[in-house]
Order: sequence, then structure tokens, then C-alpha cells
Amino acid sequence: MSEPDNDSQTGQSRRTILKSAGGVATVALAGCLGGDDDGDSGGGNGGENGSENGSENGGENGSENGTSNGSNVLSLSIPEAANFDPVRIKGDGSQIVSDHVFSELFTLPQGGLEPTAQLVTDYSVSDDGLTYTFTLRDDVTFDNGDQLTAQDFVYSWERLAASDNSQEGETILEGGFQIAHETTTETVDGEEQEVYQPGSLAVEAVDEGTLEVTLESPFYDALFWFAYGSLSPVPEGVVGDIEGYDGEMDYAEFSSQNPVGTGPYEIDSVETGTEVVVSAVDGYHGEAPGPDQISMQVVENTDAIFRRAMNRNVDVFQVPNSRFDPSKVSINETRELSQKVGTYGPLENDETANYMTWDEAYTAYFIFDCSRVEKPIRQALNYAVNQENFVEQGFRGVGEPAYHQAPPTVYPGGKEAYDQHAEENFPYGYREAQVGQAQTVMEEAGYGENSRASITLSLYNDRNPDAYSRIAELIRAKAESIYIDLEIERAPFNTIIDEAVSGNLDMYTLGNGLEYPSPQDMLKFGRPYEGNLVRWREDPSDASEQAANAWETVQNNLEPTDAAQQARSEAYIQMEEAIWQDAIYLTNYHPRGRQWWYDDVDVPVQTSGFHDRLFDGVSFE
Amino acid sequence: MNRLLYLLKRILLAIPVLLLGTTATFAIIRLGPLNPAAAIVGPVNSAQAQERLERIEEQLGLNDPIHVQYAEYITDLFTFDLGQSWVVYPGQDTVSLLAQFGPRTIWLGLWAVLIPVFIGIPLGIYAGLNVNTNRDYAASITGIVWRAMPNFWLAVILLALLSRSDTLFLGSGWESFIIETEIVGAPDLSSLGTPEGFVTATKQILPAAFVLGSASMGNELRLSRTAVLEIINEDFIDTAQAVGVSRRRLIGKHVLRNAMIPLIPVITSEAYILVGGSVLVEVVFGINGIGTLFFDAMTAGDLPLAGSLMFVFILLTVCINIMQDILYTLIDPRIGYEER
Repeated sequence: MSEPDNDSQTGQSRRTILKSAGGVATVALAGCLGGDDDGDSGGGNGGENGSENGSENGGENGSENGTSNGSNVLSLSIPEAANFDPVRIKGDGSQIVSDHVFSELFTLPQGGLEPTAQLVTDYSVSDDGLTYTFTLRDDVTFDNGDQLTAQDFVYSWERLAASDNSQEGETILEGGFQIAHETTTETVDGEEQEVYQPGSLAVEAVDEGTLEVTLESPFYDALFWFAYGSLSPVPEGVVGDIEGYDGEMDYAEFSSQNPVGTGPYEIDSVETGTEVVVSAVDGYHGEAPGPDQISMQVVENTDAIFRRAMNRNVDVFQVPNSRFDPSKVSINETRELSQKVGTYGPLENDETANYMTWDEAYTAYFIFDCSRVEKPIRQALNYAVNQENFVEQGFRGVGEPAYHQAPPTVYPGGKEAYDQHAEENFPYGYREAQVGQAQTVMEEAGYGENSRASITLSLYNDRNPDAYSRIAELIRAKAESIYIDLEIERAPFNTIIDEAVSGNLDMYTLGNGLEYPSPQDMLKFGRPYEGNLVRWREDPSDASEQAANAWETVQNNLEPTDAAQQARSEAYIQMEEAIWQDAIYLTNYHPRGRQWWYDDVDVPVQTSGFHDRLFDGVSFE
Repeated sequence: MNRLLYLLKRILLAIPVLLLGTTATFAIIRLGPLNPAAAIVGPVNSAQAQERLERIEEQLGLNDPIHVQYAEYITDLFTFDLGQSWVVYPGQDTVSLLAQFGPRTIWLGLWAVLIPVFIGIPLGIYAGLNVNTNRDYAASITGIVWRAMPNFWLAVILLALLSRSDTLFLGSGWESFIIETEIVGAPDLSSLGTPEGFVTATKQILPAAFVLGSASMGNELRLSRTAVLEIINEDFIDTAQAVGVSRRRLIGKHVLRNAMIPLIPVITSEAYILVGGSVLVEVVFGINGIGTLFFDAMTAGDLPLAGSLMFVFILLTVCINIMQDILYTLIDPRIGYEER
């Protein structure tokens, strides 16, 4: 759940969020014609909506579009390629490889956020909302030729829950969406912990084509989780990292050389740390993908990625923040989920490229440790800044100023409601700084010119370092005038995390990407509970109680009904307001994903950060 | 003491060096602020995630007392059990990672050493033989300018220049000059045996090698000029000239061979470029070699990977040093290792 990084040199970002993978800035993609033959054939087949994979068409077989005679090779720059196992936490580059090789029961369609069937023909939910029964498609095969059966899911999800290699087990074992299971007590580091009891997952293969899953409790967004990357099926017994299986290959081979899935592409070759080549699967069960081959080269340096784009070796690319000029953007079209499409130019090679941006479903903020920074200081800092300046001066106008925890796409009522609620209710000045108010708050709390407060702001120096430096300077200048001496420190991301967990930081950069489109996924952090980095529990108030109660309401209304949804929406807004009241965060911005492409290719518009970062829908002009 | 004994002594002395270097790596990663488990997990804004952090720390053995971790780490290294990467390439053997990343860096380093040797030294000798002429000044100034340009700057400039080189290379840009390659990217070393594969891989690496070698090129130019100047003013050169030794033979046999002695440590020290100095150039030119791997491993706190790489680097350095001492005796028989 790391912040999408627009300008990093090192690019070792880690995120558990799968659906918004594909880091906004780290992908550059080339459409080049011809593999070996230096080709002249540009025959783009298919794909203006290729990312749908034609799931609702049942058993339609896309292979008649003829991927075999084609020679469309896409070349793609990715920031890293390390481990493609669905149950591992992956970097942005590995995630893109994984998205192409694996697929899930459901998927998000282009242009929408309602999951549609991908590997199933039909499904039903029991009346109590607990048991999901899926009828699998009978024409799906793995890249190794095996047919997909229900037993593969039983194996794959047991791996997710029990394997030592799994780092994503909590997607099905913890939180709102839980597959029913049993736990056992284990002592870790002298403390007793409840851990998963291997083999107890309530996933059953009724027969080859029928899968039955029982949840711990009903969950309104369950279908999203069945579309989540970690829940991708792998062939039963492919690796021997859970009980009862010896494994057909070594873990290292499966995870880094030869991942086997049901996605539109299969691995062609992997040269570790340098290049991954995937080819379209022959006779793929869904819609035939556009490019026959995608060659992904590992390039970390943004300058190098940009050079390739300016040389036009690449047709789809990123412009690093340091070279981004907002005045070159002109937006022609805005779609339903605030995807924007337009042009950008002229570039330094005099071309004008196509340009799109989309909501990354991410909220970046500065966290206060409430046990170290008292409320008047938190409030004063909130008064003193204008989030618009963060976006304009820090991120060159790319992104939305953040006022709520929930990003605009998932806020109850959408972007309009988001803006309206913030404008009417944000106590610390909507799109304006209120330095006078900030001074008053500080003075009432006993601070003044002769008794100044002092806190330290810790920034990460490996994600958008330039932008954060500019923003930190903005905050420091404001803090100066409201009796706060702000010291700025920089550290790598993982050091900040480590120090934050240990409770050694006052105020620091962090953010969270959503895994499924509900404010709940963001607001789960916005309440007083043990283990919260904000440590709200240690500075209790009416507001913290309000947040706790509202969270309780959310927990009691997880059924997939309209009434429950209404109750949840109201509770979300109460939580947002409680968070404002105690000023436990200084919200920053909601980043937007961006992509540029030349006219030679046609690129489907990325819908949102929840969608897989797939390039199977690219077609050649 | 004969040469063999000397060699044995050097190898024995290398052990403390190894121990010190690997210990320093351990100290930097484990006693510093880097937490590899946090690098794996990412933000841990909940009790569950913190439990997960603890579980991963437990899995990696990070909760054991520090001396136990250290003992295990050192024993593994010195028994050549280099282990698996934790963070950067999780689950992969460091040995196989070395085998995959190593060749690209060696290829880069090879050319980065060869280019200065074949351009810098001849230029320096030329300048030394034509001392205080305009030709000398031109060569010397070039050398100083090369020496002064920092790698990171030159790399970016060269990248931009080659990208816009449409008119420079016989009407075609660098990318399509002689053979089609991209400016950015790792060379394909799988078909080095074929002429085409060799040319492609060489062309692909040349810009990066040129940048990496530029500083050494300046060094070698200046040093070889000085060395030639010193030798050429020696009495034995006058003597040789007086007895009628031809100019070609004079320069080849008497001047150059003697001038080589101070150059050897310079050239061998360039070989360290192979291990350490290539990080920046590798990153800018998209050559994902050992330098990049080491940098990533260090910043992510990937102890097994960083430790193993350090171990291998130190081994290499020590070997190069020993080789250098042996080379001295071959070039100049007057140098020996007998105790006086």
C-alpha cells in the first residue's frame, strides 16, 4: 500500500494493494511491430475493450481472431520483476507480470466497478449471505495444459492461508471479508497469537466444476475479493509448500521463472532482473488479446524511461514529474469515474501525445502520533495549510486535494458529494489557509512567541522525494508563523514504518491505497484501536468515541442490502467528521494515475486504480 | 621468501579482511535503522499487520539475540552457504542471482577498463613523447576535462545526446548505426559467440562503458604522460640513443616497458569498477547488473543478498590485489618478494 511514486530513482515500492497495481508512473509501453522480421505487418487485432476478457460471453472462444499469425509485440518498461507468486506481496513490475499471467473468478469490467464473472458461468449466494457456490467454466485451462477444476481453488486458497511463502493470508483470514476457518494458539516472541489452523478453510470442491465457499460473516463486497489477485488459482500441487503436496517444481522456479495461471498470457522467458517476455495464450478462453507478445524490460531510472519514449521506441509511456509541464495538458473528455482523456504536447520531440489520468483510489496524508503531538498543535497545523497548495506546488497539479479519508470515487455519493461535504463541513478551511484561526488555537493552548512548540516531520525520501520536500517546506513556513518549530527529517520508507510502529515519530508521511471500492477500506484505520499508528486511543475524546461507535455500526451492517448500505454510508460520514474534529491526520492529496501514448496505438482508458494494469487491450493502428 | 610462500601469506592475510568487510555489512544492516521485515510488509497501520510484521521477523530470525544472528550469518558465509534473498528477489538463491546479474556487470566493466587502456594510455604516451607542443596541450586538456566530468552528469548528457544523434552517425541515429539496438537496456549476452551477437552486445554496452571509463581514461592519460616523461629523461635512454638503438626500439622496449610499472596499479584498480562503481551508470542505462542488485539489497536491508555480494566483492578485490603483485614481478624482474 505504498504511495504511487511518480519520480523515484529506486522504485522499490511495495504495495499490498493489487487492484491498483501498476504504479502510476512506472510503466512505459512500446508498440513495436514485428518480432524478428523487423516487420511491416501492423495488423492490430481486436481489443478496444480487451481488458474485459469477454467473461459474460460464456464459452466464446477468442482464438478465431488468430493470434498465431500475428507479429504484434508490445514492449513495456517495468520498475522491477522479482516474484510473481499470487500469494506474495509484490512490487509494481511483478504485479503487472502477475496480472497478465493469472486471472480470478471475477474481474472488474472496463468503465465500471461492478465485478463481472471471469472464470465462472454462474454463482449463487445462500439466503444467510454466507455460502457462495460457483459453477466454473469448463473451457479454462492452465498454461501447462491442465483443466481448471474446483480442487485447484481449494489448493490455491489453502496456500494463501497456510503456506510459509504466503504474505497475503489476511485477505481471507482477517478483516470484513473472511472465509470461515479455525485457529490455533501459537507462541511468537513470547506472546500468544491466534494463527490459522492448516486445512480448516471452508472451501470445498463439490465436484470438478463446482466450488463452495463459506464466509465467516456476510460481506457486501465479497465479489471484489473473489476478483482479488491473491485469490488467483494455480494448478493443484504445483509447489509443495503446504501439507500433503510434494510440488511439481521448486518454489523459486514457480515464483520467479515459471508461474502458471489462467490469464490471457503465459511466460515465454524470464531473465531475472532484466526482462520478462509473455505470449498470448493459444486458444485463450476469453477475448483474444491484442498484442501477441509483451516484452517487459526492467528499467528503474525515470530518465531512461523518458528517453526511450522521446526516441519513440515506446508508444505508451510516462513523463516523470520533474519534466511534467501542466500547461501542456488539454483534457477533452471526462468519464463517469472521473477518468480524463486528452492530449499533452508538444513534447521535446515536437510530437503531441494522447494523455489520460484516473483516480488511483489512494489517500496520502501526514499521520500525527496523538500520544506525542497534542490536539491544539494538530488542529493549528490543519488550519494553517491549504491542501490545494500541496497539489499545485508539490505535485504540479496532478491529483485532488484530500479532505476526507475516502477518495472521491468511493465516497458515498461520489465526487460531487465529496466536494460538497468538504466545502460545507471541513472545519479547517476548505481550499484556504486560516492562519489567524491557527494562531488563536495555539494561543488558547498557552503557546506564543516565547513558548513555542516543536515537533519533527519525517518524510520518506524514496517516494516522490522532490514533491515532499516542497510540501514540507510549505508546512514549515506556515508552522513558523503559528509558534511551531518544525524540524524536517528524511528516511527510507521502511525505516519510517519501523520507527512509526515503535512510536518514535511525531508526524510523518504515509498513505493507503484501497483494495476494494468502499470507504471502509480506508476508515478501518480512522478509529481508536490497539495497534493504530495514530494512537488515537491514547488521546481519547468525544470524537474518538463517535468514531468507535460509527465503526461498530459499520461492522453490524455488512450484509449486501440497501438498508445496510445506507447505515454504513451514514456511519462513514460520522467517522470522517470525528477524524476532522480531533485532527488526527493532516490530509494531503489523492494521487491520480497517468499514461501517455502516441497515435500509433490505441490504448483502452484505465478505469480506476482498482483495475488490473493489463495491456491486453492495446491495439495497433 | 619465495613467491609461493608470499602468495600463501597474502591469502592468509585476506581472511581478516573478509571478516571485517562482512561484519561491517552485517552491522550496517542489522544495527542500523533498516528493517527488512518492514520492507516486505509495507505500511502496518493495524494490529493484524503488526502481528504479520512480527511473524515475518520471526521467520527471518530477526528476533534472535544479535550475536546469534551474527554467528549464523558468518558461519553461513564462510561455509559458502550464501542462502536466499529476503526482500529484493524473495525465495531465490543468491548464488543463482549472482550468476544472472554478474555477466552483465563483468561485460560492462571489461569494456570500461579496455576503453581507457586503449585510448587513454596511447594518448598519454603520445603527449609524453611530444611534450610541450600543441598536440601535448590538446591531449592533456582533453584528459583533464574527461577526469573532471562526473559520471552521473556525463551519463545523463550522453543519453540525451545519443537520443538526438540523427545527424551524427552517417545520417542515421545511434540506435540504427551499424546494427539496430536501443540506447537503454541490458545487453543480450546469450549469443556472444556469433559475430552479430557480439557486435550487438558490444554496441549496447559501449555508451555505458564509455561513461564508466571516462574518469579512468583521464587518469591513465595523465599518468602515462608523466611516466613517459620521467623515463625519457633518464640517462640510460641517452646511452641507448648514443649506441644507435632505433627510435622504434627505444620507445617500445626501453621507454614503454619502464613506464608501465606505475600504470599497473592504476589499471588494476580500475578493475574495481567491476564491483562497486557501476551502480549509477547501470541504473541510468538500464543495465541491471551487480551494482544495481547490491544497491537495492542494501537499501532494502536484504541481509543474505547484500552480505553474499559483499563477500564476493571482497574476495574479488583481494584476488585482484594479489594478481597485481604478481604482475609487477613479471614486468619488472628487479621486483621480488625476498626479505632484505
